[in-house]
Amino acid sequence: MIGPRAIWWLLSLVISFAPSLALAEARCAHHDPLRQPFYGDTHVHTALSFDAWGQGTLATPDDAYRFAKGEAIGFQPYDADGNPQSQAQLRRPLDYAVVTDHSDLLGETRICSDPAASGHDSLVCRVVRRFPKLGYMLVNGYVHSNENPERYSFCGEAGERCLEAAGGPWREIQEAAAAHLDQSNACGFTTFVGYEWTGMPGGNNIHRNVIFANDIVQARPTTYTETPTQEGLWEALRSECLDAPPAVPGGARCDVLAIPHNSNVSGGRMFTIARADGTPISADDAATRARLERLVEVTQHKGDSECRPGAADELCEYETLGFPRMMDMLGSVGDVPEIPPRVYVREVLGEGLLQTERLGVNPFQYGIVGATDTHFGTPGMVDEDAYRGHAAGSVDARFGVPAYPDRSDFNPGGLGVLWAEENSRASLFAAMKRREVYGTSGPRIQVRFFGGFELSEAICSAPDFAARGYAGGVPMGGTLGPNQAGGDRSLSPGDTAPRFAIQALRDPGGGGVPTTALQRIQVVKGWLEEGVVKERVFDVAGDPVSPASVDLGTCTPRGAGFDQLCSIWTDPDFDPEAHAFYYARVIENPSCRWNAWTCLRAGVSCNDPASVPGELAACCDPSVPRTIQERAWTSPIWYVPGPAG
Amino acid sequence: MSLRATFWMLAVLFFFVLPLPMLGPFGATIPAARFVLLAGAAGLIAALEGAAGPVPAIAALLIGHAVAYTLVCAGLAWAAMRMLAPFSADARRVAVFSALALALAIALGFDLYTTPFGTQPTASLWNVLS
Repeated sequence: MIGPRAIWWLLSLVISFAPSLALAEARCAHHDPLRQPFYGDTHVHTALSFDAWGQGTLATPDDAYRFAKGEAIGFQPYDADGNPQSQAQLRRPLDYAVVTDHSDLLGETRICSDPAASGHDSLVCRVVRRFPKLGYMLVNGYVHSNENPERYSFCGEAGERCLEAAGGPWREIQEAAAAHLDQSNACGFTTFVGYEWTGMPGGNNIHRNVIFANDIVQARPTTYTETPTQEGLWEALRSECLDAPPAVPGGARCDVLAIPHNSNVSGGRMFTIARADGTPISADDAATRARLERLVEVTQHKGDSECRPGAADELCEYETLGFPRMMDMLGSVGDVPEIPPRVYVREVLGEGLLQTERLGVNPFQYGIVGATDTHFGTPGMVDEDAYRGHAAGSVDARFGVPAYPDRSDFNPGGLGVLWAEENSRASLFAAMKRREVYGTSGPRIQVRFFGGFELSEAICSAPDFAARGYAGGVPMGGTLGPNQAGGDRSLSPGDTAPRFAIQALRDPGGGGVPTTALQRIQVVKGWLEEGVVKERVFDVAGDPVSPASVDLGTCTPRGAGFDQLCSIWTDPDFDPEAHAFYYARVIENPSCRWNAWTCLRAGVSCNDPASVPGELAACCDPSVPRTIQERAWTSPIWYVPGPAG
Repeated sequence: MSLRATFWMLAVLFFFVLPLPMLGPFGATIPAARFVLLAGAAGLIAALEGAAGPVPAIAALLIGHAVAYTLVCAGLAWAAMRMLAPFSADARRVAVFSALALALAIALGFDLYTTPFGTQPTASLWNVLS
């Protein structure tokens, strides 16, 4: 018989061990095996980045994470006492964020800003402090655009002084990520340790954001200065992270992803099919790239990279930049080259099909995310009606709050949405690795996308869309092989075409954020036909000829739209022998672009040009679009003839 | 005041005080002396540290402005000297020193210059040259 003493002992035992048992489970309270969307930003700069600090940004990684979680933070301009004269706050906090300060110039920034640092009084640092904008142009240009990058002399022999100085901010980045990671079972917010490798050879952007799965990271972030090729970056990530042994036998290992961005200003050098020495990439090269580069940033503050403007797809005319290289941002000297091939994500997905045929490995099997690339330390500041700029070397916010906050061809950027079981590092990183992610131009549109041979025609009317999607196919980011089993649906003889199920819900709003109804869903298909990449866009749901518009006098939407859309679609031209990719694009009805909101709030009347202040002159420039069709892009689903990869 | 002295006094005055616009998207309006300062900083960094990427273009742009505007100041001084040539030396002295005093008072007393490269959006002569 169990006496009171034994019961007390048992209870004590349970009470003592319960917390550790719960911790061992490490599951969030909101865990959902059918996965849920988590909204965040994988591209954020703070004062640790030279180009942010050089523009007056003082926000730290800690500030950036506080902002992402919904706190108000101050930013430039600062008064003489260092008090911020501007403040911003997200109306809807993010679920996750990654501070990705530039690894290049990390040490130089610290030395030039710290009076106690050796090298603080060097010529370069003096010029940077005395003439910040000149220093910004000279130093950024010298280090990032140099085909053969070098450290400044104040960095000492082999750059050791600057490499050592970079250790401080690199620790601060890791500490901020650790401090703001919610490890309770509420799982309210997730951080990752990251940095941006900032290569821009010849002014062509080949930047990568590097994101680590956990707190096991490289001892030093890889820099373009010391490692000036993409292959070098991948090799460093492989040897210093992926293939590095755990600190303790059987312990956690390092894992990492690299996300290229702004291929729109890469001059064709981002998605190379030759090594730096000019030789064609091998299957090993392709495999290394595919192992590390699982995602691509399709949209951000400095333009959209989905598809080539002027193509047959009219929706490619969206947040385009009129220059092919990053270095042309401030104007060009001499001839500006044409935009070469393999610049836009859709083209590169097509190139991936070609390379798969050639090498047996797809080096460009990219999932899709959006991000901001803020240089204010303000992740997720994507709302058109509350845009403050992102300090990308354009409008100067150091001296005052600009009435017109950005260049007309820049935009607030987007978000990366991760389909994960829970908001934890392990779950979110796994979502990124399997590419079950999508990007939006800012709105929180919710999109599911499945492809398979077992998807039922009734999936859209079923209450368990996701369960049926996972059971009958693969989600976005997955790969389909040929229909081996024939499926359980009624197939006509020889019908081996997969079906695609797409479900989209409009941004539900909240926090006073204006939202817009959906207009349509499209499926973008790319495939190989006799060794040539073809593409076609299909409208699969909604109303492609909708007359809906927006009242520019009030920014109020006009006309009908959809709160949700769903479609089960079969490719009418499916060729079971041809490599193909399919991704979904969800389009909203027209809404006011950020400049329309800015000009509306400022009370600009273009009927009376004399009343328009000079800094708001762009409000009356007819070449600047005043409306936008916000959107979401899913990661593709690939079809591979033969066994699925 | 001799014509030669008149020329040099006015050339120096224009060089240090006359606000001159910078070509391109930067929006600077600064005296030639400031262009020389910026050109010197950019040129020195390019010479001592290396001139890759856009550095040569930036340095050339600033050096071009510095040289061109120095010549402009000299040209303006020469033109002013020719206008003052018919007057007596005493009259020229009065005119030159009056212009000097007035220009300095305005340039030192007001934020006459637009200085996007600096730490303040606008600046007086003192800040521009310090």
